[in-house]
Amino acid sequence: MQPLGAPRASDLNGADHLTPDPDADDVQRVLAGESAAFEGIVRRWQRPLYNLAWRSCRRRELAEDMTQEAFVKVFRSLPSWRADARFSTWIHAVALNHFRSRLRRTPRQVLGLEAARAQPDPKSEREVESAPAEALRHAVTGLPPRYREAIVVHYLDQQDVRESAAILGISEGTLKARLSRARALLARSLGITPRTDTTREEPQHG
Amino acid sequence: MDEFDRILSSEASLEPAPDLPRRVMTEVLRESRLPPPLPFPWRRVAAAAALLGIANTALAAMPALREPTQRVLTTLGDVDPMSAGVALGTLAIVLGTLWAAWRSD
Repeated sequence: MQPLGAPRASDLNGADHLTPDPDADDVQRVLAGESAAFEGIVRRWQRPLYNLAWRSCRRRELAEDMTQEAFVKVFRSLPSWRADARFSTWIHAVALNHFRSRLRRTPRQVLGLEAARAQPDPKSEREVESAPAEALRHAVTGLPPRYREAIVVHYLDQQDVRESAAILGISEGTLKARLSRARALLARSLGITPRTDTTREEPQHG
Repeated sequence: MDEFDRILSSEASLEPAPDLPRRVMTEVLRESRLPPPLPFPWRRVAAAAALLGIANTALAAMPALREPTQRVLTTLGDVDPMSAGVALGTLAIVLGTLWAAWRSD
């Protein structure tokens, strides 16, 4: 299975296809003083991080700002990445930490005003979504941060429990408990009765 | 897989704005030109605090030290020993930091 948010082949550019680990390569170049090499990381990871931000707040402008800031944070934090750790896990964790503190600083009424002003994006598929689906996805942004993050990370790119837990820095058991609680909170906010199990079916491997 | 799972896991991936990499790189390159921030001198502060603690303990525990110190303080006037200790400790930290800064130049 593909790691969380791992860039798709179509997201990659030119010679990156030929490099076994383009992220590690770019990190080394940046740490050696070649800051421009960071652009490769941005191009590969802009889509996963933007979608992570979008699903955390559902405000297009705010998601873009948060993504941009998260990349700057990633740039500053590159020396702390250990090459034996998965870059995908690390970059998602750094971004998620930033989104958490950024959303904590953003007043809820500001988010509400932005929502009222927000124009539908004609290129997205949101316009053809059913109302209940849209209501559920918006309800996720209203969850307390720990439950919102569990849902957002777990369902981003069909991620499995182990990788999601690694990104969130918690055990698999804790993640399952948070997912269960999040589903109950979502069900209550939407006025429906949830199923009682904890996680979605794990994808089949192999 | 229930309805919640189906909806949450079927959400389409959105494309970020086309100029996002350019904006990020402008910010990153600006950042890389800035001098690195000065780290807070935790080690020196910890060493100074430890020295201050040791000095205060020694002063309190050893009458031989306490007596001449008290005499000096009496000479200086009506000074609270604790306040004097803190003031002297602070002065020692300032002088130590200045000395360390001078040495590192």
